[in-house]
Amino acid sequence: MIGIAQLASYIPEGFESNFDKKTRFGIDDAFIRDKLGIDRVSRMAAGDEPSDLCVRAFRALQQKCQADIGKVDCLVVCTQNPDGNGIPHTSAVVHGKLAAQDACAAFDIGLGCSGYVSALSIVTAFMAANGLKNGLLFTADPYSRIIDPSDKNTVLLFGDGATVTLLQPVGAGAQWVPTKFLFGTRGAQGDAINNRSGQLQMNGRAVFNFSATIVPTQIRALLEGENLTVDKVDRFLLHQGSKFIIDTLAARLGLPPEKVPNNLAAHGNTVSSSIPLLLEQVVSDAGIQTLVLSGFGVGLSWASAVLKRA
Amino acid sequence: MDSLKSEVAKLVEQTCKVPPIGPNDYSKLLKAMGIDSLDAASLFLAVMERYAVEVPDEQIEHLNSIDSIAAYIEARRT
Repeated sequence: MIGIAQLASYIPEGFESNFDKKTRFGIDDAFIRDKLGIDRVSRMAAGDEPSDLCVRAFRALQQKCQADIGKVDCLVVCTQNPDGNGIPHTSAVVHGKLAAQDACAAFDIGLGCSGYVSALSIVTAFMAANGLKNGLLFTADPYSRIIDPSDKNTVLLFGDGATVTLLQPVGAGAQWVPTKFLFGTRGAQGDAINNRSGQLQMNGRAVFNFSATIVPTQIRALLEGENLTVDKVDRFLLHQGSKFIIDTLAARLGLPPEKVPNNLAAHGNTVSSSIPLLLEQVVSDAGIQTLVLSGFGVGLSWASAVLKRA
Repeated sequence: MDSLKSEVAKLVEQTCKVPPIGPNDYSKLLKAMGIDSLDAASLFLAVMERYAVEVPDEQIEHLNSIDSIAAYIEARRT
């Protein structure tokens, strides 16, 4: 069985303060702090590519553990904002920049906010099926490339960042293993988050309605299927869309606030990086044994999983 | 209709976490009660779930008070 050995991340130093946008968008401090929960949104440097964010996340991983790029046999990037126009795939670019070995699978996964959970299933299953031992799952989806600076619906929310998850077999590094996944897609409502015009467009109300109704249903089904109750789960790591949606989901599921962390304030909604950024904060806490992850957004799609300490 | 308005007022109090709303407030604009766009999204989801009525995006700007929301529900609920 393949599981998570370690995680690391990179958040660019550049940012835009939402407090500087109060007059432009007619919002106040209370809306920024209590509803968005986002003081500022991170912005990658001009000239950086998503692959550069991945490389920096990997350098952070090397600071934490003995991650040997020479042994990596699977390298995956989850993004919908790839380097260039997507050819070659960003995972191959990262492979080249890290000078990984030739005997290494590299492919991209094109999903947004539900991406990390789905990618975790895809990559762990792919590695297990093919006897691979050292996988790197990157997330890097810098929405700053496609955001319209005058669009209140998006420019206050999305920040840039990247994460990397080191995946290894149980007994050879894995500390956490996924025990169950559930997936969903509602393509007929995909227009609610789109990039047809070259700029991100989001129908906030449609996304809210979808998230507030679909996600609790899936999480309840996940718990029931795994014979879990809320009190047996140590943390619910929900996609960090906004404080408002996190609070709404916690209330609809009856979750104690202390079990539903959020880390939006300093960088915003980092799309597929939001869940691994939370995960990075909790995996080394010895008191935590069981986690529920749930990502939801572009597609519209949603995916949830249970992780247990190996 | 008065009881429906009272129900809607309670729904607004619960979903938007605003102080108690009396009959004199039913014609007030939601915005004037401190209800922002996110609260409104939450409120209209609650209306749809409770009364089994659709509230399309194009109707939202017209549903800006307890009076107008109650009238909208009354005209559509079965």
